[in-house]
Amino acid sequence: MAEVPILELEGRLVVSIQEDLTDREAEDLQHRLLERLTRVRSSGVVIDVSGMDVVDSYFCRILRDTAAMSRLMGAHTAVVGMNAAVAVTLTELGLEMVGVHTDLSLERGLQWLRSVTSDA
Amino acid sequence: MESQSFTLSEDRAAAIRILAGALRGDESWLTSVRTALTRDLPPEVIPTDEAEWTDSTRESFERLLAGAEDRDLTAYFRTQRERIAEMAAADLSLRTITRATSDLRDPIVAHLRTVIADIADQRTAVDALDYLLRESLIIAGEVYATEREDKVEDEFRLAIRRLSTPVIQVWDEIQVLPLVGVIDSTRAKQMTEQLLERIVEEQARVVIIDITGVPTVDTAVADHLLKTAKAAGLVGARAILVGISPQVAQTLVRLGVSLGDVETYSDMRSGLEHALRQLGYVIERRVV
Repeated sequence: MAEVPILELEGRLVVSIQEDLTDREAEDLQHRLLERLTRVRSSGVVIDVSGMDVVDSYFCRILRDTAAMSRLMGAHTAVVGMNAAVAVTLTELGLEMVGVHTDLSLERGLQWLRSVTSDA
Repeated sequence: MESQSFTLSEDRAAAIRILAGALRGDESWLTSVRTALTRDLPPEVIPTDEAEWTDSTRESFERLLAGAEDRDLTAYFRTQRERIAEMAAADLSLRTITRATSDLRDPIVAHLRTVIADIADQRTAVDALDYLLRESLIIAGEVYATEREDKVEDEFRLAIRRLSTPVIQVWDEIQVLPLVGVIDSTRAKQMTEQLLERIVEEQARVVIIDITGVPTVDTAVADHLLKTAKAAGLVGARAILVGISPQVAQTLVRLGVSLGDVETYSDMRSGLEHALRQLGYVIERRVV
């Protein structure tokens, strides 16, 4: 598939993943996202995973790592729109998204970002 | 160079014995040598007490004679080297010392001509004297070269140390520590000390540590940075880490390194902005 687009919206980076990603694609996304952060100096990242039906432990880890890496580079990350089935599977697998803010929707994710970055 | 030894051939040892014998018999030459030295050297390096000076000269003379007996002048030249090193330490120029050494020749040769009757012996004694003076000059050259090297090296090291950890005041109560190059534990310790000193001195409340110029950040480096940040916190300043590239961010996360609650940013601009906001500044751009 074509690479996942990274959009800029009101000083935040928005990534909307529309289909399931291979490990390679996920790594590539992480890499591009971090590179983008050095250029646009964004204070927040929202990753929308609503289009994904399958989230494996590796992708889960990529998300967690990406959030930690972005944090080191000064940006907060919210993962939004995880579909119910995926959430249940992750919980059953015992995969926790430690240190990652998860939220219902893109709208809520952006709201959360505003709240954590406004007091800075 | 320290272990340099001076063993003598039988001929040369004999020549030095003749020289020493001629100098020991009659000490009138001491006065003319002293006159020559006072002309060349500043007064502070020549003992003002003439008797003291005569004693020390006589002493080095005895060492020379003992060396000639053993056919080994190592001890004699070692003492010479020490004396030259003292003069070098007293900031005498190499030129002054070589001039003084060369000027010893004339009065001594004049003396040798009067006390040694045999022409062949005279020539032997002068040759021996020339040998001693020549070696002394070489030693002087060596001493000065080494001293200069040491001095240059010390200055170089100091300059590098200063260069490697400058602390810059960018705003009231905000200090910046830009790090360039490899961070090892020595440097980490030194930069922490310097930073803390500045924090206390300038009453800083925020310090921004910029690691853009640090090529690799591994567990050890992260640990150093974390300690620096903690130390800064202990003296009352908040540390912000900036200049984290994607590569560094990836490395740190993959290594599982936690930077605790130290705030981190990808560039200096964000870090500075954050620091200013923290101190209550409002950054506003007027329409122009």
